[in-house]
Amino acid sequence: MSADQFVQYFISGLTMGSIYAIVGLGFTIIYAVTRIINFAQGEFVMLGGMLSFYLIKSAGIPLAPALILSVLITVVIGAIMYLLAIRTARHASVVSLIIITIGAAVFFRGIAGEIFPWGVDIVRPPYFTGSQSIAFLGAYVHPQAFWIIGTTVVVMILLHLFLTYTMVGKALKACAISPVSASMVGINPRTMALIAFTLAAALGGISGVVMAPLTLMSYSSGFMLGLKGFVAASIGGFKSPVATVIGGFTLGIVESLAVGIDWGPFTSAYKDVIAMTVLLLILLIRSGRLAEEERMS
Amino acid sequence: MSESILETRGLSKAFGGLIAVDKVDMAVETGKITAIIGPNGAGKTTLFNLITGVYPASSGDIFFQGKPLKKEHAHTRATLGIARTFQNVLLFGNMTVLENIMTGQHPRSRYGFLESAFRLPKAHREEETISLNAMKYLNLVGLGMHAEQNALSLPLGQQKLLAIARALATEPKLVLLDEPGAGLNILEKRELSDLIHRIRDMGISVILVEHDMPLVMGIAEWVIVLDTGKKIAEGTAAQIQKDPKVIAAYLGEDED
Repeated sequence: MSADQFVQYFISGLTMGSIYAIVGLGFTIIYAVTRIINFAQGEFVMLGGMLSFYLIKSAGIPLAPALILSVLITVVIGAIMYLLAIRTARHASVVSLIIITIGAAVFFRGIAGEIFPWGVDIVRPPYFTGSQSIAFLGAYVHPQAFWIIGTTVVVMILLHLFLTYTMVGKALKACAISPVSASMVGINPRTMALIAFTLAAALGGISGVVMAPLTLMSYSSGFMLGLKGFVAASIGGFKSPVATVIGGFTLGIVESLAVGIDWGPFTSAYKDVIAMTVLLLILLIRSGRLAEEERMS
Repeated sequence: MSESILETRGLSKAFGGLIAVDKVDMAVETGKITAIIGPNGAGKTTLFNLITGVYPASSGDIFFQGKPLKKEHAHTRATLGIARTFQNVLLFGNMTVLENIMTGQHPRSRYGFLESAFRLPKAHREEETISLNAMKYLNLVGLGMHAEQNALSLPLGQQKLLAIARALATEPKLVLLDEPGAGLNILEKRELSDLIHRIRDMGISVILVEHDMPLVMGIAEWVIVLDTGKKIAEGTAAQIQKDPKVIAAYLGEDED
């Protein structure tokens, strides 16, 4: 691989990695506050992307308001999912709640394949700022890639500021560290769970609208995106947002560079194999430690 | 007895076949320091957990300022004015000392999710007030100079003081202290006694579970004795020390 090619693949890895990181953050936030692994996280991304295409192309709404509206609708869907499917089953075990999220994911996928006029076709919402590639360190970078990386980095910074400097953010952290102590100081764990689902849906929706023009989107795109985010979050043990972000970027870059290596006829098919291998390794290494933590609590 | 801040009637909690709290009737007087003592496994901490709503009661009732508590969630009980500390401290790690106290003021913060997400000026100003207020409680327990330190980097004695400050920051009417003296040295215990008196003088009723008899007898204005989940005696410290049932159940077996 030449140096130029390396930069090319590296930047494309950064682009996808930032998406994985932000999807992973959605997993981490919900897990930290509720101990639920939300398998519908990838569907939030799909919904964001699909809604943006619908609002721009079918409803004729201008780009910027359409993007904001797509994210808002995704957020509302996330909140409704929590209130209808999770809160009503709150006395069930965490494993049951996780299975409910799988059900919700199947539901979202099924609905998305039915209600949009283009059915199961793959769609591409318009680029935010054209498609004239920009020369950068010997590589050519699509402007949408800058939008993806820029947006996700800004969102990560805002999320960090929110969690660190606001009272609600501190309450979320407190609830994540010790739900019992948190309720003893008057923090309602259910309100925190609703906020966690809302935030996760917002993260999913935002990543969906910025990535869809470049990566395309269909009703079934959520599954693989969710899985990649899951890998990023599992690198952080579903606890550390920083490790999740590092995990997401690492996964994206490794995946992209591996595609660049000449593997013969199977090249691009190996991309997902890498994510799965990383996931298997992490699960093997971590499963003992996670079981230990469960016993401790 | 004058007006009581907390009352339980026939309060019971069973874990499977084990009856941890067995039909306890008690009345805790407003503005007093009440101690609950008893040998290990007497049900003292379980009683705290029932009062604060960590567990639901199996049967019986709890009244706070005359109002039934049984149906209220744990966090609602905290906003009604019941605060507590834990035997095993349970601070929020990864947070500074000051932030731990600030979470205690969460129920008093009026500005919601969106306001604080966008850091609107009102929410921002409120946060400053909360942080100033939090400093007040830190200074009360003498931890003012440690505000920016990580909570878990404090020695145990100071962690316990921080837990008390966090409880006080919820602006409670009643505070439950679960073994505040455990693991403290003599000097720290003396400071703890002073602090508990100061809390009482702020008009906050105190209930403490404690094994350290000199500490209990020195500060408690009323003592309730539990043994195997049942209330076996209550009275002033002097009365309790003479009670033959208590001596048999507790003091006689105590090796400290």
